[in-house]
Amino acid sequence: MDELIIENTNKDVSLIKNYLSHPFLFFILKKLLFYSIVLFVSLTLIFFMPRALPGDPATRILPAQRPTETYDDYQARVRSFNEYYNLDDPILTQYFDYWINFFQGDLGPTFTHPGKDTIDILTPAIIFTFSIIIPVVLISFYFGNWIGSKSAYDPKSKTSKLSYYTAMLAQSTPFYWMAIIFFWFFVFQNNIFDYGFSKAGTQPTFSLSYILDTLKYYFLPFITLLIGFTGGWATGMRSMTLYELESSYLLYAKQLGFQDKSIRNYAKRNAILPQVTGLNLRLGDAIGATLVLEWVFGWPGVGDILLTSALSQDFPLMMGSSIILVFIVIIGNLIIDILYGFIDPRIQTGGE
Amino acid sequence: MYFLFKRLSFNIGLVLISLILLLGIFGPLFSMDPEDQVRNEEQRIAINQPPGEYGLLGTDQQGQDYFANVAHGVKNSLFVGFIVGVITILIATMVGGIAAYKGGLIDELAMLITNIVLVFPVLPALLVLSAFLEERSLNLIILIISLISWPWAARAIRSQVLSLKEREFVSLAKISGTNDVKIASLEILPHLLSYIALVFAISIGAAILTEAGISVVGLGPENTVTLGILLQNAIAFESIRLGYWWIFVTPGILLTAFMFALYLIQTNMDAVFNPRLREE
Repeated sequence: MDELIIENTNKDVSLIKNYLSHPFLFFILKKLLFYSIVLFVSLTLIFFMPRALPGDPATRILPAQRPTETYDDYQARVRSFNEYYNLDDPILTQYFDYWINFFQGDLGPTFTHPGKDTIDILTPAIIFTFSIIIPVVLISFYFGNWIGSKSAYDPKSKTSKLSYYTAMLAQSTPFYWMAIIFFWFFVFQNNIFDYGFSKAGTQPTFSLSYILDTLKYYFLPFITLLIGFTGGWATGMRSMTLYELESSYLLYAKQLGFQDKSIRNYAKRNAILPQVTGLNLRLGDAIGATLVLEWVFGWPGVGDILLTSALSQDFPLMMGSSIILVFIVIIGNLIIDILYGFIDPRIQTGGE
Repeated sequence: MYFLFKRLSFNIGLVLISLILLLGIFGPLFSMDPEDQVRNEEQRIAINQPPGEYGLLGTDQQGQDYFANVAHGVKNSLFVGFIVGVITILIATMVGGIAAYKGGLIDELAMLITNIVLVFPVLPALLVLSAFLEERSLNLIILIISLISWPWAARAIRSQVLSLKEREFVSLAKISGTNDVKIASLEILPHLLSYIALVFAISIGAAILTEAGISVVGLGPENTVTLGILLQNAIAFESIRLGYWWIFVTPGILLTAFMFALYLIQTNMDAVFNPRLREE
């Protein structure tokens, strides 16, 4: 650390080197480099995977030769299909075009939605996915950690044990099964909520009636995800807080006569750090769970599109939604990493 | 170990796990393979019958004995979990262990690859992968789950080895000229075993849940039955709308009980091996 301070105060160092030597900036640059590699690898995989499949897309997607059609007509149909999707170009040309199009925000036309571009289908879907995933991650993080730290202060009390085991049960219940049970109970048995989103319209508008309409469909996937994730955060936070409360610096603080309140505060502040790191991993879980839940409840997000296109073999749409997912994951991870840098002062000074 | 068996919640977890294991191992022996039932037309007595007259768990959408389906589902799900667990442990111990022990460039490279794979969320990656597969056999699904879910384990084992290799007995072995293979297998590995057991337990649970997750949406293994496929059938044959509760409740309860038991065992193991967490 001393060396860094000396380095920072040294007036001879050039401006760029000075910036680079700032530990927080260096940390962010390192992360940016890493996520660029991840982006490159994943987009390359997404490009080559469908092309590694046996058989060409035309024969998979196009209807087979019709009895009323001559062989030449059928071949012409295949040719125009290949031409339209540029599938006749050499694979490297296609690969470079893919990258150029990617940077222009163009994900190409789809197989199963004639006349529509992948990006036009996916843009509203992103809004729908975000409307579930962002509130769930934030609210579950807040309440889960709150429950977890509360139940750690007096681990032997009845309420603490009850909340702990309830949280553990919520964490153990597979979200897709919880979704099925909720669906059965709230939609089919009691008709409290509706299903079949198309009634509300999949093109989001920000009118009040539209939002009230969609809330009926929103509640179930939202609450299913929220229960599971709150449970996960709570159990994690409880053991972290217990661990901190037993640590020597807090035992010492207790001996010095610190108030319970401030001791708990210290424990909470240190216990939250691994939870923020856990956000990185949980974000992936949250995205996976959202995908499946969107499909189960028919919520028209990226996951619903990904799974429907996967089942109908619409590769451009599938690739497009995978790219969007990769993007969401990377941006989310980057935000959490930067956030972690702000919360943990050791990152900003370059300490380990 | 003594401390573990003194804990009530650990024993509850152990009993739950053993019951599910018994169901998965002995259930299929006393019931007919669902695949055979499909072929045997005479078996199709009545469809969607509630538990009771037609067997312990009634019949399913095709008139098959549902208990047989559940027993085989548990067996196959456990099989997925076990094999993925073994492969995860093998890859993770190799990658994490070698990276931590060798250090330097090897460590940097191994961790770069590990972190790249780690960024991809397991479930979406598997959904995309299995959608691209031409035919999805149970073994192929096991393989792709294993290929994607090892990184967290490798990182966990790496950090354990990093702290172990600084211990005195390792330095002593090094000074006395013991070779690397011997140090790794005789000095470090025995101290890792309890931790590896923990990682193994976690990855079994995660693998079973993941397999069920891709099966629920219809991208799981074909021509076989797992707990996830039973749930997928419940969706596909509208058992939920029609309220045939035994069909969609049973697989879910088993999954939940299995995960709950694993969490109980895992937290207790954590508490015993990390004495600071011990509540007594």
